[in-house]
Amino acid sequence: MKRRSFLGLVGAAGLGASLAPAAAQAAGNTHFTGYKDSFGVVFDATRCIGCRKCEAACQKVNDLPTPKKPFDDLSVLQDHRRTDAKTYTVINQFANPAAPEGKTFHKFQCNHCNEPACASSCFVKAFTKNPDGSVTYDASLCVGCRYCMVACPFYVPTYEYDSALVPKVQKCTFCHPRLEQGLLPGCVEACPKEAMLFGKREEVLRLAWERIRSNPGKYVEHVYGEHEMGGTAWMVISPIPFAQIGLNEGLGVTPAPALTAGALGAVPIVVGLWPVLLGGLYGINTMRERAVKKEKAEAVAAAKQETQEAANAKLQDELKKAEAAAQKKMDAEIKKAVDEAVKAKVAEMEAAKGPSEGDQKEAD
Amino acid sequence: MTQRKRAARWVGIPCAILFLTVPFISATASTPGPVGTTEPKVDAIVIDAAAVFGTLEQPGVVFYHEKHTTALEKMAKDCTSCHMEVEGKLSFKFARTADPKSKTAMAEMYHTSCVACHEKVVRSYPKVPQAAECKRCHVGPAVEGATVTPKPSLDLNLHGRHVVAEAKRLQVKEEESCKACHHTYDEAQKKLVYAKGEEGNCVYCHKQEPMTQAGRTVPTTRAASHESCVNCHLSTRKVQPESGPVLCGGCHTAEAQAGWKKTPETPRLLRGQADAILLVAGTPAANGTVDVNWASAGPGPVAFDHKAHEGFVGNCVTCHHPTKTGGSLAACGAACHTTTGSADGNFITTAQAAHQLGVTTSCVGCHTTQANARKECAGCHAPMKQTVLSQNSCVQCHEAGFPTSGTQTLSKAEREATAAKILAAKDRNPKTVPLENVPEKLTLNYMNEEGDEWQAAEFPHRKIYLKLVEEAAKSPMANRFHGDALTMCSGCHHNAKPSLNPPKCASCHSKPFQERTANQPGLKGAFHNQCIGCHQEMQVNPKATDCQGCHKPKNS
Repeated sequence: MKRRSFLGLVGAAGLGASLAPAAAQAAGNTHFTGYKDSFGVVFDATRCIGCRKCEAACQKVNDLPTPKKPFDDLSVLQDHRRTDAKTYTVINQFANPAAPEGKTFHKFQCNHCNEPACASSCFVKAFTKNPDGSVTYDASLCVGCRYCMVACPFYVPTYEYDSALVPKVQKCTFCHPRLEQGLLPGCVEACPKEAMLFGKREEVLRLAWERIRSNPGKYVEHVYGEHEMGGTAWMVISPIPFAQIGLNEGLGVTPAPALTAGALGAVPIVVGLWPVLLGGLYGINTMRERAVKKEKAEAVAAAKQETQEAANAKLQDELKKAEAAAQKKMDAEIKKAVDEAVKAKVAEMEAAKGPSEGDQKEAD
Repeated sequence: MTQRKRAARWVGIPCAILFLTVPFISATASTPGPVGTTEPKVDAIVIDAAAVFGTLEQPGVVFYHEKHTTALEKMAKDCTSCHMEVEGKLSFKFARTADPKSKTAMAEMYHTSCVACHEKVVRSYPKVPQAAECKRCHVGPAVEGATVTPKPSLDLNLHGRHVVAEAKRLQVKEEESCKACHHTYDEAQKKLVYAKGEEGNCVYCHKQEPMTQAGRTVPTTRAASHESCVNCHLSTRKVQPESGPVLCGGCHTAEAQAGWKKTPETPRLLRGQADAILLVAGTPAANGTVDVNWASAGPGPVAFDHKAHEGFVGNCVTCHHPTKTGGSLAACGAACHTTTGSADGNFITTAQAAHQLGVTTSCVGCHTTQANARKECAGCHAPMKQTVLSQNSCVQCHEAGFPTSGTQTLSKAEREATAAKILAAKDRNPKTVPLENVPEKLTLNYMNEEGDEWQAAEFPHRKIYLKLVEEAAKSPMANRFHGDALTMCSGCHHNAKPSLNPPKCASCHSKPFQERTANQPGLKGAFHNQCIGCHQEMQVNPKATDCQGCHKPKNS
């Protein structure tokens, strides 16, 4: 490929790349803020006493295996725990000298994002954000790539590593089946302190802010999850900064899918448009090359012909000249020979017969 | 040729990556871990005196005062090794009485004096930092030190002990011993003089930062207190074994302060104040007379028991607080917190000064803080913490039965007499509900659902009531302000008019998370939050997670 054509292609590629994300964003111009009337929960860390009744209820309603240590063993709170494929929710304990007994607790489970990263990362659509607010998983679709586990900003989906044949991704379901029956999520129902405020997301959010406002100094003035990662169905209010109860304060308010939508939205454009664009460029380039080649060939042919013709003409000329010369020469020679012959004959005749004989012969 | 080029590339790229990452790897590896936090030492003084002249090249020096006094004592040396003595008083600046005029001179002064001594003692203390070991001393103020130490406060009891001691030292009558410490600045004589009847708290003049007043600098609280207290303690020490503390730890630790002697009786500190005074909105005069226009005097005057408050508060300065540039023992409304506010009072009116929540300088603010401070009271008061004053609260302090129109001039004596009369008539006894109206036990029998793990709790209603009454009876404030007997009921039986037949909990609290009653917890949540909340605040057993402390398991 020529340098010129290469630069042309690079330029075209650059243009294509810069156009693609803009086009993708323009395509996604609706701002989704969650399903209307979806459910939400606000976990009030000032109310939680760390009794683990929610964990027990979760295990019961989800038919999860019984853990080694019973739920009334509160010594497990000493360690910072995570959820796993057999535990959808855990209570963690954090130091807070101002709290009763110096402890504040945080209940950790899937936050059920308004725009879930797990769902956006899943290329087989195994995750669904349901209109009731829950984010559920369909094992029959899952291919086990575990992109969801990487994508989740809260590190929620977990994998059944001990299942050899068909390991599933597991996480809290917001008790989606129970919600459909009009029941409360298991943990919410079990909590003796009503530390989880359940209701329509908008409603519980309003109540959470009311709690914060009517108790100045009791809470950090922020509802964690109201805007984090574009908003979550499960939210937290806390007496101490959220980082001190194990929450990531640096997640930002952009929903995870928005972070990748540009790049992913560019894929169809790249896949669909680029071949056409590049093919076209290639076509134009080859066409031009062909035209040039053709022109050149024609020019060469014309020149060749001209030269040929010139050469031919010259040749003809020369030939004519040569012919003429040869004719002339021949004529001269003939004349000469004839002259000589005539002379000789004349001489002979003169010498042999007489001048009449010679005249007679010449008259023949 | 190409082969060699390719080989060079394969070697070159990893080398380049390695080259670029190594500085980062080594940087992370060499980053020092968190400096081991040492116990905060009260005697740690950060020396950065030269900082007043501009930025310092080195962080401040952390100087451990007690370490040095101990070492000097062993060498049979005293304070004068470091502090200069002028007219029998030590200057608590290091090795000087006045500050050098430049940064270099200040640094030079410290370096010369410190290093000279350190060089001398290096034989007995081989570890002492020497010249050129900059970083052994210049560690910066990051080291926990003097800033966190509790500041000593001279309460009325300690003040009383000083009155006695000073009278003995100066060999004067007790009421004349004030002059030992209290002083004002006389402009004419250009010196500190004692002015009888003008004694106030040190912090009225000696502020956190040096204050310029009439062209001279008033020393900070810190400078003034060290110079006066420590010097006096030192000189007393020379004539008698018993004297006040002279080292940092003697005043600046909570343990030391707790160990200070106390006289069984706290003498009153008389500065012309009344035992009781009628606080009434009006135009005050200097002699204590108030011109009252009853039509605009608000919700009635308050009979204020000044004498009782002296005992409760233990000092003058909590209520008669210092301001940015001054402070006085005058009545709140006299000059600063006037009925309409004034610049001197930061435009805080008399009413705001009395009612503001969240501060300890206002009546209501302090009373609320006191009620929340005791864990015995916190069961009822902690949930009320942030509530605004109700309309019923006014009558707790504001007296009825005064004129509502017309004007009157009340002299100080009249105000005192009226207040004394009102206060004498107050019932200060704990008020209780007849026990037959207090059910002995309640079984909270709402738990009959199938899945319930526990049996209903038996609630020792009367026992709890009696305990609360017993604790409240210990507080004079509670006895005075709890109003009627039903007040003790409304801690739990909240949001309903106090009565002997309060509504059942279940009449408001039923199924949780209902849209129309979203603000009301469900019955389970209400019980647990109320009981556990109170137990946590009052720090009583059963603990929050001790289910069996209240419930029996169902299968037993």
